[in-house]
Amino acid sequence: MNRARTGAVFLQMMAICLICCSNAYAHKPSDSYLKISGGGSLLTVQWDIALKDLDFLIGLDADQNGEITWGEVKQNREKIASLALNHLSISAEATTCDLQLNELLINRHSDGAYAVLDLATDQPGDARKLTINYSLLFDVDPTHRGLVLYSNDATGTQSTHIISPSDPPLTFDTAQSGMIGTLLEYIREGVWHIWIGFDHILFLISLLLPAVFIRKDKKWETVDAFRPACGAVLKIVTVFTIAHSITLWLAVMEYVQLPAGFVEATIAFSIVVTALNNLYPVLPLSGWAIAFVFGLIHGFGFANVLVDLGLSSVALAISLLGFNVGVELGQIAIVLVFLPIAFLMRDTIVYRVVVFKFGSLLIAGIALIWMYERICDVEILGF
Amino acid sequence: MAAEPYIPSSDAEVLQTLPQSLLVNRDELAKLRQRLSSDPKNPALAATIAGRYLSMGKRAGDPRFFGYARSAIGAWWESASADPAILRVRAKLKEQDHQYTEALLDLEKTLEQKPNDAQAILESANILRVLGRYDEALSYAKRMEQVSDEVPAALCRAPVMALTGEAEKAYELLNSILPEAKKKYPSTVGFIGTVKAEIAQALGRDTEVEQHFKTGLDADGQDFQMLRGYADFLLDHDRAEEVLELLTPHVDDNGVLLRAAIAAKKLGNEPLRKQWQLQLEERFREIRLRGSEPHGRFESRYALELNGDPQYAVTMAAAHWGKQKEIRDARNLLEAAIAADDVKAAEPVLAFLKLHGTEHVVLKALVDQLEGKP
Repeated sequence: MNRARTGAVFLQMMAICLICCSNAYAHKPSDSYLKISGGGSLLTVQWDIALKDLDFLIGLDADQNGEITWGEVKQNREKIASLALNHLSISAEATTCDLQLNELLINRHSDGAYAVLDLATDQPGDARKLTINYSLLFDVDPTHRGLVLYSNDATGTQSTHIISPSDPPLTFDTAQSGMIGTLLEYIREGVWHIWIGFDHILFLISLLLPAVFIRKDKKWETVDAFRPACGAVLKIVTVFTIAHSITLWLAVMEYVQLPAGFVEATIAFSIVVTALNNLYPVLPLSGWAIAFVFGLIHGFGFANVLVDLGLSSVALAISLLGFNVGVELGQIAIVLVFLPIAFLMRDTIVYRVVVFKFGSLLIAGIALIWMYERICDVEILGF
Repeated sequence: MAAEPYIPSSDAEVLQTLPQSLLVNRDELAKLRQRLSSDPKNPALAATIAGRYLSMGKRAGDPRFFGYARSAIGAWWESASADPAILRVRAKLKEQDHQYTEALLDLEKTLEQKPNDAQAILESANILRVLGRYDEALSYAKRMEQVSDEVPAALCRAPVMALTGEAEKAYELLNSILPEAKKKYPSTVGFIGTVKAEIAQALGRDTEVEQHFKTGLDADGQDFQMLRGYADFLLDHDRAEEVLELLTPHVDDNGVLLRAAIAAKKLGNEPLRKQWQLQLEERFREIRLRGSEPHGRFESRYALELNGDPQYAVTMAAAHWGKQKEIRDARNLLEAAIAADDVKAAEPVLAFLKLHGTEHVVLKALVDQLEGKP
């Protein structure tokens, strides 16, 4: 193979090679944003298409000076509308929407200016099943994506869908992640948080341990019947729930905010106090009063979790409710397991000494270490 | 998402500026595409169009053009045995998309058909170097020696030598081939300058590095690579004021925007810092919205130098180190590990640098700090 020829090819191709090949994308590739809003009497559509893309397709820069002005965009209103509407069809419940351009506006996205096509439809805003047939730019740019953002103000539903050239028409159920879905999701999160939140479980158990006893003259005596024990537990759990619901709401609404470190350390402190109070019942408060006072602080702890999960303002009430219900379900599960066993064992030495006394001591010990960990920001126990 | 739609108050309002390279090439490319649509099975024509769009995309820093390039060779995108011209440009597009393994495979297929294709050999060496597979990269340099003369061979070899303990020798090698390169391969002179500057940077020859950036930007003030590189150089030398001045007109580019925000933060210019940081976050968000991930190199620096989240910076930099092993990637992980007080996270980089005997003044200072040396 002659070297001269290799050299010639090499020379010719050199221009596109060699610039640092790990070069990161300066922006993102081309996208258009199709915002479909339900909830009103009719569906509305707002479609943002990059001016750069429109220029590539139909040539907006009439004077060829490299600058696209508002005047040039306006002049091309009809061309833009017919191009766009030829590459999009939306069906609601299998009926094709009649799409009409109301107004042409401009929007800025992170990679430049976009034409905004404000479209009116003739289909109802509460349509359940939508089908989007999208093909803009796909023939000239296989990396282009159509991003569909559905939202419904009435139900608080939101969903995002990505359409690429190889995809079949997009069909989705607008109610899929609606109120029920959000509610269930947050209930699950609430239950899960109780399940993995050892500190809440230990607090609850230290409150429940003496439920099969009655305090007489600063000493514990066993109850005779299941009913009063049950009543005491019900009272404790209800009061704890009311208390933490109050502060959870206050914190999520940002009416009251406490530093997370302080809240976590105080939760540990509440466990120490409650467990020690089982051994030396000296607090001038009964079980339900302790549950209320410390329930307030546990609510702030729940709020930090809920805020971390992320909340949309539309779904705020639903997620708060769901999370609370989930926390309750988690607590009830613990009570249902704990109470019958404790009641049956209440007269045994095993319960009175090993479970009650040593159990409380152990819980107090663990919580004390948690408190130290949380105040000094160190890790000893690892859970 | 974005801002609220509005109606501009004046017809003369400029909404979007188009890249210069588009204006220059628009008509000719339109003609070429016209030809392709009447001759859709012509690989040479398709590869030419794709190549033109590819270089426009690089110049403008706009990946749209890579999409157009891909469309031009769309008929062959999935095909296992395409024309070498198609394979070469397809490899380049995959490389742009960080699909290095697939890109190497296409280059290998090119070389099966044309064993002496100097460009495919050079590209392979380049990608392997970026991946930190230096021995394999050097084997391509040997291959180049067999099929071509000393200039292309040196272009394969010197960048690897620079990273494997032979920086000074690599520099001399580039100097020795420069006259020949100017005569026979003038289009490589820019690349030689860049590699020389990188070596100078590794060896701490600041005056020379600065001269390189200044000359480069005098020739082309829009060169994003130059702008990013010079900004980093200035930031390292506590010259954030100059960075602001240099970068403000070019924040369209994510890499430039990142450095501009870092400079604003260093200067305590809160309004600018906030504005640019939000802009960068919005770009990351829109990238995620389309199902992609922002570049790990940017995201780790964003986390460390703007968002004050060294732990996340470590996670991002470590993940990126698994994909790419350039000086900047090593530096990002070392800096994040130091900030997060997580020496263990830095271990892969420390071992890699030791294994290859990489010399670099900035990295050395970081390594010393991690190893507790004074």
